[in-house]
Amino acid sequence: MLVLVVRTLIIYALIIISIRIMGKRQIGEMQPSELVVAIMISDLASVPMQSIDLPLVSGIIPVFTLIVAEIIMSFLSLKNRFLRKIISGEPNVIISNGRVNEKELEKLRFNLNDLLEQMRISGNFDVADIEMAILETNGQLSIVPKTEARGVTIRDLKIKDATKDFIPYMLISDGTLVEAELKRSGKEKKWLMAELEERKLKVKDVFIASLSPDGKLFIQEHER
Amino acid sequence: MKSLIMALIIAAVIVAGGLYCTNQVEELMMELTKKSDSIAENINNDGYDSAKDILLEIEKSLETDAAILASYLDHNELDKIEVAVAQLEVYLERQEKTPALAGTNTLKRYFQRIPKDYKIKLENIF
Repeated sequence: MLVLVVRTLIIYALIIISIRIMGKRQIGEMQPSELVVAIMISDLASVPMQSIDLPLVSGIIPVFTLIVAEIIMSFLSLKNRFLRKIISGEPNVIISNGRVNEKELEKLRFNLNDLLEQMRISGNFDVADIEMAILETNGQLSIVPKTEARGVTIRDLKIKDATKDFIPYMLISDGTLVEAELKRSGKEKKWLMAELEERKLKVKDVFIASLSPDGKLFIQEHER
Repeated sequence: MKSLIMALIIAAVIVAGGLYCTNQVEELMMELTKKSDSIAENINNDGYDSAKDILLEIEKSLETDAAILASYLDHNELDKIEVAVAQLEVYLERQEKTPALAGTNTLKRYFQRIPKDYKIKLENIF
């Protein structure tokens, strides 16, 4: 019984390593070849995990072989447009100039309901508001709304001194000072300590301390 | 690029490791096949004690390379070899010629079949 536990833990660690080697793309949006690899890995890993008669290597080698093949294929498709077209396919324009391209929908075996559903998911409810829709190789729909239907931008309003959006600096996270963020914010440690002292707090007492780009310091203490 | 280098390293390790294991197992099986032949020869000449000594050598060889064999072969195949060795031991002990020869032949077939099953050949791939 314990053998199964150990084998499972080993395979678990190896699958994590292999997914990390394959990169972040694997976790989110998958290309057809990546989807195939993900399905095969899950199946390959489970066989030697359950059957102690099989050498663990017989599960590990196919998994790593798939990863190697996938990385090499993605590298080659990065360098070669033709190969990219074969492996990942090409995006298809299914609405252009405000008109749904029926032939393209037919070619993709994508019915009108699928199109409307994808549109609704992306927050577009009226087909009349869409200038262009592209079905990406990972199956997601990219939409360009018509000029009169798109949201107003800063450029439209001609505002010159619009506030820039930045991600706040996470200075303390769960009682730990994040030196890199402090450095990125341009503030000194002395300043942060003074701010904490003013509130009669120590670093370990703070759950979150973040600094907004306009200089506002937000501090939340640990609940305990 | 980092992941590509990593992939190429993994590929090299898989290929090198695979070749090393295949060679090791092939050499071991060839040696064990020869020993099986010697056992059969000794049985035919009623040299049961010498046959027992050679069988002991086979057992030792299997024990020494147990790690490589277990990581390379289906564990069921190793179990079958172990059982065949145990049976042959008894036949040699009791000096039963025909079953001992049959047991030796079975063992020899196992040793011959293993490298064949793991060789890169069309019949093994499909």
